[in-house]
Amino acid sequence: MKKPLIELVDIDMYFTRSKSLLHKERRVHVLKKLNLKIYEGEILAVVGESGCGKTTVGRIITGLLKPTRGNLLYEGESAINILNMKSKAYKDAVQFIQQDSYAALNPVRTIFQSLYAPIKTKNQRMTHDEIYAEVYQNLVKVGLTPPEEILMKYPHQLSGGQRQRVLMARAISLKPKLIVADEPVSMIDVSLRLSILNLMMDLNKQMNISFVYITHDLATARYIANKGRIAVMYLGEIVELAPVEELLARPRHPYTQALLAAVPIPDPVLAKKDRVVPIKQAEHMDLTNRADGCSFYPRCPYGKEECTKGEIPYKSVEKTKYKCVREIKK
Amino acid sequence: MVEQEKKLYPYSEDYILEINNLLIDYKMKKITLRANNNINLKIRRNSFTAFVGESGSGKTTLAVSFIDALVEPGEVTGGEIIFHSKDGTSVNLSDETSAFKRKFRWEKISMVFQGAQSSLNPVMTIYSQFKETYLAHRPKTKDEVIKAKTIEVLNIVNLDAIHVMRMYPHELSGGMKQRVMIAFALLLDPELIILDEPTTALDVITQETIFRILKRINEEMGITMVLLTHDIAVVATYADYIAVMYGGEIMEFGSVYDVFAKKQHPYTEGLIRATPSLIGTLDEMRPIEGNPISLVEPCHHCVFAARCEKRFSPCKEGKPELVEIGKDHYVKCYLFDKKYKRKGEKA
Repeated sequence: MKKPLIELVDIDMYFTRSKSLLHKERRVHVLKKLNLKIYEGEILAVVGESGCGKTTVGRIITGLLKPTRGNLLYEGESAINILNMKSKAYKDAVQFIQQDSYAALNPVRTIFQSLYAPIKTKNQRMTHDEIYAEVYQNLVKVGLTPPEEILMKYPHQLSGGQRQRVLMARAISLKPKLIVADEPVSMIDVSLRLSILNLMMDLNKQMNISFVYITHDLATARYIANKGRIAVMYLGEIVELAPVEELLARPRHPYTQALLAAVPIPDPVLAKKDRVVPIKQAEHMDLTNRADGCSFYPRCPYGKEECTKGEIPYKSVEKTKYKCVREIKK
Repeated sequence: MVEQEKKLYPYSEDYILEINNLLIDYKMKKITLRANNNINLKIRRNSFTAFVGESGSGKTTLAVSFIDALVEPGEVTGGEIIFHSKDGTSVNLSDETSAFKRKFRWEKISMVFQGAQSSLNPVMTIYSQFKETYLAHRPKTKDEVIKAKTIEVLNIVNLDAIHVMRMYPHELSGGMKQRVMIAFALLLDPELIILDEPTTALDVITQETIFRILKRINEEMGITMVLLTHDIAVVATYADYIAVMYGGEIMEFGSVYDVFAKKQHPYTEGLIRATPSLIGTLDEMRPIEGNPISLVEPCHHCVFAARCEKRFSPCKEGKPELVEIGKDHYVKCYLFDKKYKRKGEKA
């Protein structure tokens, strides 16, 4: 059994809106008892709708947010205090790629300056020429050739796809073990999306970097994590975790089933057949005051009384773990 | 001012919109950017027609020109946009006055804009926004009439009308706001609604709900829908006709069944192959090589030639014509021009 690289243990996250003239203090419970293991060299896709907490998970893994409760283990050791501690090794080992590549790069610095800074900070002794050689190599690795043309440019002179590749080059320059990519292709033209996903898969294979790919798009998740796992999130909980092909062939949780039924498919003959999305039209559960039981209950078509009581345990079938009281017919 | 005699256009029962040789330019200090180049298209009445293309392909420019909402310095510099109204009249929108077009907009053609979040006024209730628009077009309408109409259109999009009318935009979720925008578009009983990426910020389950409503409006109320999107899977699932745009030109147009089954244009084929999906095998999926064309430099040959896998000798020399290759199926590619045969192919 492989050892997990990073492990999230019973993570709870609250966001607090402070008291003001018009509003009382509100505490929004965005992540609830979340457990997740990320293994070395794997690609894990985290899928869910907006507001389900998938970005918060990414930000906790990268150390940008400190969870309210729970623990974050890095190679078996607690790394929870990375925010106020010197744990440089962790910060180098886990890198983050943002959705908006334009906002993620300093607009008044050339690409070379942006890529130079992290390497110099990490290795103060390296000379300018050594760093140049390394930056050059990294650009080649992410497919930005010839690098000379890119290095002296400013972010606005590059296309969205090129900027996203620059972010990849910056992330790999610190030789990370894990890259968390938050919706890296959602702002990229359709014809180029696959090339960015292919690049991430190549980096995964060649440099053995684990990826956590956060997205709302099941189709790209299937593409990138086709040999990996997929975690479906709903309102701050992982409701189903399974290998991709198994999840697509046999979705167990009612939310996953609804999600899969709602995904449009690029074939009019198949797509125009009568499709039923098994979900009730209802509002989400109130996250400031979470009720007991299953968070999907208000919208679940199979809801029973037992769904509203206590904590719903995970069930395991084949390689799937899912959080539902329903027994699955074989 | 001398009244010019207006040209009369023959009325068409089958088509609601006819676009002939349309040119739209963005004139800037040093350069002129041609965002729509020689568009020829007929949109069927009561159809659900989708325009697909990447950012910068000119689909939004084309659609907003129907309602005279081009952003400065955009300008229609040639061609015709003929609208055949249900009442039997035909007008060429490109040579009407802006006062006429202002009246025309929303009463005949309305639009659901991208990002419903920013389309509503945050300091007005939903009802007061509906009322303002209604009165701007039909002054002195009684309050009860507007109220009844507001309730009617909000009910069409499955919203609790009495409740939602009194709310402010921030009290609504993203999906609800988008449905309010659709109700807004229905307010003055238009014949055509333009939908600009109506679900990009929404999750797939909400997307499904919204498109079901749109489809129902399209089928039951007989309102023609024009959808602008980059998502080819959405098109296959919900639209009847598809126009594939690239570099400001229409590359292929036809019914979704024809276009998806035959994928005649190399760009259409590439786009479908480049879209990850839940069906099909993964090895068939691959991106289109190269970068999208920039319109800053005028292009005198096929706009897709630089990225095309099936490129051959004439592609870099001239612009192909849009040719009809089947019923209602048009393709703009030299592969379908009988004058040219590829090397090694039998003539």
